[in-house]
Amino acid sequence: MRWRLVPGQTLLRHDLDGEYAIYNNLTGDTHVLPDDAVQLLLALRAAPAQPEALLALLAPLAADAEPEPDPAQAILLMLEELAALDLVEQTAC
Amino acid sequence: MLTLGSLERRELEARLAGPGLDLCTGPYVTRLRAPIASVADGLQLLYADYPVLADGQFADFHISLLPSAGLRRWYKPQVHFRHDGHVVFRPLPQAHAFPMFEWGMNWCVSSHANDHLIVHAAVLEKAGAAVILPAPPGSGKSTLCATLAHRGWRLLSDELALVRLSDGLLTPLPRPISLKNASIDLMRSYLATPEQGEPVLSRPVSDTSKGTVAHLKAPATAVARAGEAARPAWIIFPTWEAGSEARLTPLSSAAAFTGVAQNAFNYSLTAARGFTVLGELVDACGCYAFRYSRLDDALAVFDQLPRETP
Repeated sequence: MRWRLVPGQTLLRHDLDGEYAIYNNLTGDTHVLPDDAVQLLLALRAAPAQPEALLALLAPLAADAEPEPDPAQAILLMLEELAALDLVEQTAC
Repeated sequence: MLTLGSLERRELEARLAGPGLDLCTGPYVTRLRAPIASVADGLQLLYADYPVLADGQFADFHISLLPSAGLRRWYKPQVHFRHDGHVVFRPLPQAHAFPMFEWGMNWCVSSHANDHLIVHAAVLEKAGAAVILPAPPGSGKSTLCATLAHRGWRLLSDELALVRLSDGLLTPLPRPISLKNASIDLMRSYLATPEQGEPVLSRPVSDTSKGTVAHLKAPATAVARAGEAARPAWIIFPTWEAGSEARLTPLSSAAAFTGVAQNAFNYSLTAARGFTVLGELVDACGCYAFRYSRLDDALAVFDQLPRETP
């Protein structure tokens, strides 16, 4: 299964010194998200992707961060959290 | 321009009982019908400097405060607030008529001024830089606001920060400052000066939903400058805490953003534009939490707020 940005999502965002406020134009909700979550959203806006591919996309970010003991699981958790915010969803295509 | 203070009492009462008094507060005109002596008293005391218009011009808000009819005229008389003819609030004891007028005026703006991001906050300005003080009830916001407004800062509002969605500037809405309980006597003595004596306060009204309330007259200079928008420079979340040193603590942009959004009346309604304006507001401001107990100390801190652009 691949993940994608929920169709119609504009990802209107505002840089808050290392975090981002994201305006979900489909629900009207606002969320404050860490930078890595926003990079993941931007990657999914470019194209739907498997979690493994996202892991590769985010790898450069992790270079100067604390090593993640289980990166694949961390990406999956982040995707599920973003799905709970109606920002991303799984797709069969 | 005609001001309310230039009206004879008889003329004021005739307007309030008849076609309505067209009262200008900030950018808004309110047509008020209120044949109630305590409302006329409060208006004469606190609104003498405000412009009033001739009958029949455009008014943004049409409100009435009318006494009960029937048996209620004599038994526990009540006052009824209506906006555009519709009942908005439950009736209150008639002794609460003037506070109800003030609360109703706040409601009119906070429910309709959606060309602004409306934040529950006091706003003051000095030397072209405005400070926004968002805070929930009980935080000492109005006491601090009253102090600043009478010690060199221009009052834009005690209750409603109006951030223009078009350009992010702050629209003034200077009106009387709502004081509650112990703050009433505190301000009566603290703001008294040898030159001007005690500040002008409405008669305290007890047993309201907020306890005892009284309203402090807005400085005439603030009313006269109601047409001058101000540029936001600081967002400060005040908290009064017994025994606390006056202390500013920098806030992260994320904390300031969410704090202002939580105090906004119409953040959701203003949607993407409100989001963008709020982000730009936070960018433009130094953002702090502020604890204080002594007003003199608070004044000293506010007079030395960091002016650098964040």
